[in-house]
Amino acid sequence: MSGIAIRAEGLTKDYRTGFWRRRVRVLHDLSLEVQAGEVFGFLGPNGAGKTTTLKLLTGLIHPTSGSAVVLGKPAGSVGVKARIGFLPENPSFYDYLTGAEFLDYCGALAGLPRTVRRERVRALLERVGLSGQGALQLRKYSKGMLQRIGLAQALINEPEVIFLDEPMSGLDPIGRKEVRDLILRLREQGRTIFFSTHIIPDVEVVCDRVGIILAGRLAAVGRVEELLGSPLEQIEVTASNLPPEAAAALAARGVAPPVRSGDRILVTVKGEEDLGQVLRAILQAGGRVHSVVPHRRTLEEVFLARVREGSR
Amino acid sequence: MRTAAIAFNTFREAIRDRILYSLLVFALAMIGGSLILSMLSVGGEVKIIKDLGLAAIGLVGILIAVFIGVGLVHKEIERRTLYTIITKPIRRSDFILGKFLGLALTLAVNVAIMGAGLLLLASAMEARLAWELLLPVALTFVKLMVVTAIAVLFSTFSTPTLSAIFTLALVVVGSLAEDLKLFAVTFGGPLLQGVVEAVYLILPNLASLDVGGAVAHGRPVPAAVAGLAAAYGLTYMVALLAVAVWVFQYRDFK
Amino acid sequence: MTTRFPTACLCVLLVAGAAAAGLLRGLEGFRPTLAAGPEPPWLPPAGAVRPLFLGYNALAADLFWIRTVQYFGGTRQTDRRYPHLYRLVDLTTSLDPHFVDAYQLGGLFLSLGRAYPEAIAIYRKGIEHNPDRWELPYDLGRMYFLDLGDIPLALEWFERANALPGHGHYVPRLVARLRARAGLIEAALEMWERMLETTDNEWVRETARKEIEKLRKQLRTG
Repeated sequence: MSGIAIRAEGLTKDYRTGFWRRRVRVLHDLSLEVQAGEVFGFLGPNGAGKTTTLKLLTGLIHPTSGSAVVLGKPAGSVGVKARIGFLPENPSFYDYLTGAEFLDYCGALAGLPRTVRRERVRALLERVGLSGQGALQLRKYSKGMLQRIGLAQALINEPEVIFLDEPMSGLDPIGRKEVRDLILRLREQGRTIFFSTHIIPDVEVVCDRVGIILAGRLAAVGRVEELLGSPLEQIEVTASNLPPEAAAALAARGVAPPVRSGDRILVTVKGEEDLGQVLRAILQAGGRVHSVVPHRRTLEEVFLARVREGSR
Repeated sequence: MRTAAIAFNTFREAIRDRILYSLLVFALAMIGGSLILSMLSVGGEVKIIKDLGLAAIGLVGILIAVFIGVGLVHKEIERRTLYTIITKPIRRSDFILGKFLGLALTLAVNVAIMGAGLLLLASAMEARLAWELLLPVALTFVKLMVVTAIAVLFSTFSTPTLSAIFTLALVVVGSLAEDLKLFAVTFGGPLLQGVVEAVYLILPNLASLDVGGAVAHGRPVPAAVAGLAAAYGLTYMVALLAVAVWVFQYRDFK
Repeated sequence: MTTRFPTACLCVLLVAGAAAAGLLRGLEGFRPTLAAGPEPPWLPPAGAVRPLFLGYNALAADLFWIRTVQYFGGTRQTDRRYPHLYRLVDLTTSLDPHFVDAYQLGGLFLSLGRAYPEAIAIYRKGIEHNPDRWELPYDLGRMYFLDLGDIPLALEWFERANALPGHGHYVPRLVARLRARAGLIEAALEMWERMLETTDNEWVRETARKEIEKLRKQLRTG
């Protein structure tokens, strides 16, 4: 598969809220492209507009202006919906149906004939680890189980493009790993995946490219390493048992104000070289190294960095 | 067909709802109660059973139509179960029509059960098959379809509480349509009459679908009247559904 | 605590329940219940009330009819006039003008209460709204005959009943007899002769022959 799977151009969305029906803009002129076969992570804090973007791309809401095109057709058209899958955030389904009944219903809506449905429901239940719970009513499902059945229904029609809104939310670490593995497997099959999250570690492992959204605007798009930087950018070193001059010298080396707590001092250094020198200095002064922790950049730091770069 | 799948699923949801059974039992109790009530009377015993029985079917039917109908769409939006359904390759119109048909099917089953109960009772009282009751039951069903369409329409854009209030208000006004018109003719000038006439044509005239009174007296209902009434009800229902489909098409699901 | 709580609730329940029952009894002493007393004083005019029933007028008529029956039956023991009977019957029949049983029995109840003008009004209202029903002119005729002793008027109404389809098999004989009583001998004869020709019933033919002979004798003697 090649070509552009998802294209958003100038997507803008306004809502009218409040008693006076004031217009509130929740998405400003968002444009991005996702290649076929890519795993695209959509990062942003809560309320940034991730879900709004996903809903625009899946046809659940209509843009105030701009366009969204998926697999060459307008987002939300029936033809496109046959080739996509969608998992909403904190999904809930018809709780009076059993897991298998629900998947079968989704399959029927996707236009699958009965024999195909039966087999696929069985296979999907197995794939998401719910083979034993197919006959259980959805109202009895735990949050993690609901997330899995949600993934299953998103895949019922073997979609080419899959949209996932916070797919890891509510899962324990094992569950999160399973979802990550599933995404990777789907990529191997050549499918395109667009998923949103507010947790960076989820993104780092699976995504080819990342888009960062803040307050309704696309702040940055690019490959993971480009955006989030190497973990070795900032390293926090905690040491103790240092004579005062050594400590002061150490603090001067740091790229951020030191933090003292009793006997200990925490210094933030940048780069491998500095790290080596600092560690040697501590040991030579007779101090003790307690911990060396690489500091991950937060989204805000990335954003601010971008802004700084832009204004330079 | 996808609409059929949605309809069947809606039906399945309705029959798994306990409220439905309570209402059905209530209706059957009312029909049975009419027997007791008829014992309090001298004269008109069978009439009482037929009148009360048909009223019970109509009343319970309206309750089912309204209380399930107003939540049909809104519940899905609020519980966000709609998201995974709309993103499947179906048209939005398929969804609305499927929901409506599912509720219509539910009502059909309920009306059939209640109608059978009434038919049994009336036939037992008269020692003959009271098949003339089938016509008012059928027309009541058409009336219920109109009420359901009203409820579904409101459900596409309003909360269940407001939708229920508006739908019931329309049911009341629709039942009084003839009287309103009479009122305007008796008391109003030409302007009022014109306004009332226009309003009368727009509002659902539900009274036209009530032939139970005549039937309980043993008076025959002309086929033309029954046919026209049924046709009116069905065309009105189609008009309502068209509006519902239209509204739903442009709705944002936040 | 765990065993004392249900006990406390039970005590409160018993005390409150007994008190409530006692209070209700006390209330009853003040207001006679409808079964004993006759007054339904709040009957509204029929025209105003029609719309309130949302199209279920016939059912409302039924319920008012039951009220009427209970009202009549309940006060019969005291053998008073029934001051509200007419209004009840009138309201019932206004709500459902085709409720023939209500006209018939309502008229009967009124006549039993010796409220003859009201009974006549009810019967005539029924006849006006249901011109095809023979029972109503028949009942009116019977009241004129048995209660009011007015032969000419009774005969007039019986004739009208006789002209309507489905009338009881006894109506023609009644008309014939009353014609004779009213002095219309030829007319009476004519009816008996027609009956003789048309009926298959041997008892009726016997009766007809006897009456014809009697009437012819009457004619001869003048």
